[in-house]
Parts: sequence; C-alpha cells; structure tokens
Amino acid sequence: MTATSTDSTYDVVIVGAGLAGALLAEKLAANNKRVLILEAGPNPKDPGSSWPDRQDYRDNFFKAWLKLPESPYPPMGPNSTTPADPAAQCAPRATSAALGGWPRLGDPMREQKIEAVNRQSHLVYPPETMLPFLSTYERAFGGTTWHWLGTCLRMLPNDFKVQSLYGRGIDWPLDYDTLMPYYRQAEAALLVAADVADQTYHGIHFEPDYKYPGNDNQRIPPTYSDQCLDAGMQGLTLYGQAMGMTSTPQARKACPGSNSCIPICPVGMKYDATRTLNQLDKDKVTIVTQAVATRVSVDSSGRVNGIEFQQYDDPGRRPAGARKTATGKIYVLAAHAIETARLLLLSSTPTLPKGVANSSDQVGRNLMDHVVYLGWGLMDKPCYPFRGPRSSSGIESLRDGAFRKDWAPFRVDVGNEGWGWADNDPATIVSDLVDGTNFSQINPCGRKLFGQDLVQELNDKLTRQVRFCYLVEQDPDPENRVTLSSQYTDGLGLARPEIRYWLSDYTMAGFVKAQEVTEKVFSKAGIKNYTRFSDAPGFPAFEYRTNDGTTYRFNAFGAGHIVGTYRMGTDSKTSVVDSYQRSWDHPNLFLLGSGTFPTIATSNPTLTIAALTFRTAESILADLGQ
Amino acid sequence: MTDPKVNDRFVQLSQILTGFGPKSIGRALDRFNFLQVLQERAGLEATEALLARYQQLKDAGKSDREIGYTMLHLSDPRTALLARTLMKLWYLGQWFQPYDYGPYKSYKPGGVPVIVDPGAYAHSLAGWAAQAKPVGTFDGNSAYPTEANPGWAGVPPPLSEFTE
Repeated sequence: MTATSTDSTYDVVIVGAGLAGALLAEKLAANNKRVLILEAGPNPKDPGSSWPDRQDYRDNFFKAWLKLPESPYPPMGPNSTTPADPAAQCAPRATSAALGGWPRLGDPMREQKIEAVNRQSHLVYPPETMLPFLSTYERAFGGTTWHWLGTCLRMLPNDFKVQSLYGRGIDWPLDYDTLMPYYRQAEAALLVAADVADQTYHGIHFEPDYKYPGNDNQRIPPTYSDQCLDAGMQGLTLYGQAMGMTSTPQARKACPGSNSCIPICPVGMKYDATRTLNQLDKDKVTIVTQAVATRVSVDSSGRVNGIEFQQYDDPGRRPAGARKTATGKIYVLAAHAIETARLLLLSSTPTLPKGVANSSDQVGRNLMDHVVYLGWGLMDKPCYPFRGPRSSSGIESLRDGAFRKDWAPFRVDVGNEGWGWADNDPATIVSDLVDGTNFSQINPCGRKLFGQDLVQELNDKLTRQVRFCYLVEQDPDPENRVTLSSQYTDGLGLARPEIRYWLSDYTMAGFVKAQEVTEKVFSKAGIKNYTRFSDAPGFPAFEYRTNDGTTYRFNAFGAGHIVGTYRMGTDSKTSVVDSYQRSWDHPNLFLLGSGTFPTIATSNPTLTIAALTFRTAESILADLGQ
Repeated sequence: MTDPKVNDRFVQLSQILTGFGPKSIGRALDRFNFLQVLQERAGLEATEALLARYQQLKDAGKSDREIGYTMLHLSDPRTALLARTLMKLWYLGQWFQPYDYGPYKSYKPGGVPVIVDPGAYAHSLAGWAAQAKPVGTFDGNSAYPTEANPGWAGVPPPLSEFTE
C-alpha cells in the first residue's frame, strides 16, 4: 500500500483508479492541479508490495480450469490466500464463479439455491430473482481495464436519440457531434488503432483528415478467420442491412496475438489504465491503494466536504486502524457503475435519507448490461482461430435501423478464440474425444480416439470453430437496480449490493433475432450451427413467450458493460448528473464512468467513458479557475 | 532424477497416445516435467506399471497403433484410465485424478480438474493441434502480420510442423 499523506486538502479527490479516474487525474495534473486518488484494490508496484504482478496474474490464468474474466486476479486466483467469502474480504467484487450454483429454470429448490449463491457472491439477490446480473468488474489499480477486450467503438449518432427516433429508452442530453472532439481525445489517450474508412457506417463521421492515432495510423489487421467469415456472408442482407465484417478499433499496439485479451494480455500490449497511472506526475498525483471509500460527507450547504475511507493491509482480514477522511475542493466518484452507486447509497444521513446525490431517487436504478447471446459453429473449411487478438472484427450491420422500434439492436463481436467462451474449448472437445463423451455435440458416436486419429480429429474441429457474441441492447428500467442489502455485509461491515434485475420484452425480442441471424449467417457462410441451450446449474437462463405463443429458452451472459445507475439527463428530477456528469444535488461532486449512461446503446462503453471524462475535465478545470 | 529408461518409455508412450512426434513431445518435456505429475499424483508404482505394460507390448512386436489400442481398450480399467488421464494432461495441462492416492481425491464427473502448474498449461498440446498455441502464451514469436509474414492474417504453417 502506498504510504501517503492524506492530510492536505487536494484540488480534486477521486475515488477509483480505473480508466476514468486515471484519465481525469492525468488531465488535471497536466494543468497543475493536486489530485488524490483512493483505490480500493492493490497495486503490485507499490514499494515493498508482495502483491502478484502481471506475470503472476498470467500464471493464475494458466492454472484456472475455467478461464473466467476474473480468473487471473486475486482473491479468486488459486495462489491467493484470501478467503473466497465476500463477507471476509475488504474489497470484494462481482465474479462469474460466484454464480456457479445459480439454479436451473424450474428448479423447485430455487430459493434455497439463490440463498446459497448469496453466501458466496458479493452481489446478492432476493429469493424470487429469475436472472442474476451477469457481468463482473475488478477493484484494482487499473480497474476493469485489466480484462477488457480493448474494443474502442464510438456510439452511433442515432444511439443518442433512441426515444425520439424509435420510441424506446431515453434520449441522451448531448449528441454525437458534441462528443466528437472528446472521442478524438479519448482515441489519442488510448492510442486506438483503426482505419477511418472502415468506421464510417450508420452515420459515424469524423473531422476532416482525421486519422486514428494508434499503431502508426494503421488498423489492427483482421485475422484469417475474419476474412473467411466476411467472404462467406457477402451478398446477405437481413432486415434491410447488408451483412459483413468490419474491422474493430482497438486500443492495442502491434501485439503478438496471444488471444487472451480477456482476461489478461500477457505482454501488456493492450491498453489498460495502469499505463496512464504509472506515468502520472507523482508530485501532483497521490494514489492511495488498498483504501476503500466508505462514505461521502456533505455539509449543510449541500457541498461535499470529505470522503471517508478505510485502509487495509490484508484483503482477507478486517483492519484495526481508524477510518480517515480525504478532503478537496472537488470530489469525483469513478468506482464503476455498481460500486459508485453503492457508495452514494451508503452515504445516507437523516438529511439525505436516500443517499448522497439522490434527490431524484435514480441512484442505483436503470442498471443495464449488453446481455449476450452466444452462437457457435463449425465452418465448412478451416478458418484457423486461436490466433490474433481475442476479437479483431465484428458485424456492425444491425446496430441501427427501423427495426429498433420493435426489437433491441446488437453488434456482433466475432471471436478469434474458437469455442473457448462458448464451450470451454479446447478442454471440452479434447475430453470428449479421449473419454468418448459428447458434451460438445461433435462426438455423437462416442468415439474414443488416440494417436494420429486424435490429432487429426482435433485439428479438423479446432481449426473450423467460429463464435459470435451478440451484444444485445438492454433498455432502461427503474426497477432494475442496485440497493443495499439488509442482510449481507463485506469484510469492512459495509452493506453489499443487492440486485434486482430482469429483461424486457424488447431485449428478449432482440435475443430471438440474434438466434435468427445466427442461423441465417451461418447458413450463408457454410457454418454448421452447434449453439445449444444448457438448462443446468451455473448457466443462467430465461424463457420468452412471443405473442404467437412460441416459447424460447435462452442462456444469457454478461458483456462486462455495466451502465445506467446514476444516469445523466436534462432534468434533476429524473437524472442524477447533468451532461458534464456533475451531480445536480452537489455542485462540487462529479460522477464518472458508465453509470452515467442513460442508455447502453450499441457500442462497447469504454471509449465513451473516456470521452465523457475529458468533457468533465474541462468543467472541473473551469471550476478550479483554469 | 528419473531413470533414463523410464523417461524414454514415457516419451514413446506419450507419442503413441497423443499422436505428437518426438520433436514436439521432447520440446514440451524439456519445458515442463509431465512425467513428474504422473509420478506424484498417480504414484510411482502405477506409473512404472503403465510404462512396463507399454514396454511389454513393444517387446512383443506390437505396432504403435496396436500398443495404443491395447492400452486403452484391452487393458485393465486402471491402466486404461491412467492412459487417458495422461492424454488429457498432455493436451490440456489438466489433471483428472484417476483414483484416490495420498492426499489426492479422485475426480468425479462434474468436478473440477487440477492444473498443477502454469507450465503444464503453457506447454500443453491442444493449441498446437489447432495449428496455433495455448491461448495466453507468448513464445517470443509474434504472429502480428507483416509484409514478410502474414501471421494471423494468413494460413498457419502445416499441422506437421506443430506435431512432428
């Protein structure tokens, strides 16, 4: 843990050393402001730290049977001695592993099994919950950028006005053109690599002569698999949109293609926020790690006057030391959408019974994700996955169109990792062919192979694997929310987040379309569909009945895109922050991150988080008299 | 230090079971001691019995294919199970404990196999069978496409280069 003095009054106190906190700190320091960052998680580079570093994280990933996003990172890593019980952890976070016991559809022991999940999950659920929240995050120096994909897409112009155009969701209080110069700053900060010519679809436009700054202004080359898929779907039009593969803007350098961007880049070529944090001017920016913000204090005038925090040495043991208070002129919460909302709610007082910044009663509400439909299959010829970044291209065709008034749009993230996410391959297929089982469905005769037969069969199957990930838009629902559990606490005695979560018919209809698109694209591209529904513990699922009486059952996954819980707007009665992410209630409080998104739109959120952060930085600097 | 004869038998049996050749098995074994996992977790006696069975079949003039088939389909269940466990160790770096041994409890269906060391995964064979490499590893050779080498944008080298 960084030794530091927090006795001085800083210009800005930031909670959270993830992407938003890091970029803001850098901008403020460049303008000579004194900044304090409080980060709940550890920093391996702290002097004297025995905390695992990147190579240790990589080894944790290698040793994990299930290569989940959190698998490299303590305390879930196999090397950790910190207990897995979130009630014993000082800074627990949501994990996929905690949902391993989620009940099947129709399980008669459903309530008891959810209770069991609650005992091991940081996020807890009422017993009647049908679907858990499926995405996870990290509380660490660098935040969730440790295991993001690196995808840096801009929102579409129409994403900002879906209510006006399609009668769905809510309009943003700003538009694409307003954000455009900040997208430019964000792409420069993350060194995003792409080709402008590839990105001018669905109305996306750029300043004249703009070039993406990363990788010497070159896009990251599509993989051979991308090229095969693109060729395979040429000529296919669905719902009025021509289908095809588009290169994805990525925050990475010319990497060797280790294929494991989620959950870890073993060589550090993918941007993560530690790159920004480690370059900060230490004379201007103080970072205190292993420091959990526990309360936001507000004075009688409505201004924030301090952030209380608790430091710890051992993440699995309640610390003995007293809590401290950090003070500044401006306060910024950038602890991601669930933890920031949680902190605001934890800060309730008799005069602020609903918590800080919550006169609108919107804090914690409108929790959204890109809910994921996975489709997977075998191409009729080798396309050689398991090479390159985990994803280098996608299908952007159905991110927008007139259909958005009827069903949720999606982009398709096309994977380069075969059936790794879809079916835990190559482990499943190897075990099937050695043991004679058929979990993968490619071994219906129960063959038990060895030697050359085994190599050839594995080669035949593994080189033809294709995986599509549909990021289906979820619309805002105030009843999807984060509140504070009255029953479960963490290792510091703080109430854990309680989640209420479900999907609208709009999103479920998007899943139906995702299934249809899979069938049609696969058919066109010569891909045999192996997508299957699993009604098993640990595979959250839902049922959807259409108006014509057809019942669908789907497994759902999370994209790691957690948004909406302190949304921006034009009206203080229905939103938490304005378009500069300033709290309506407290003029010296800003909230960063995807929690401010009024809708989740159709792009991965990271670039927009960064762009909004740069816009907020201008506002903060103006407040500080810059 | 392992008896060289034991090591040789282990290498030869591993080639027969996995389908990978001496160069790739030797390279993987140089970097991670797969034999030691077998000896520690299945026991020295069981390992020696497995390798002795292989040697017996080889001395009887059986072909590699006959040896593999016999060990996996015509041997006692424990030998066959251990042979399959070894195959999955090679291909995935994962150890599915075949029976209770010392502190190690046998793997049950639906359970979780063990990856005893990062090296077991990093030098496992499934990625090579895919004409790639284990996901997340970097051996110093970049696959980033260049003018000289199409890398991930082109077709990889033939399978034989990965399995010889």
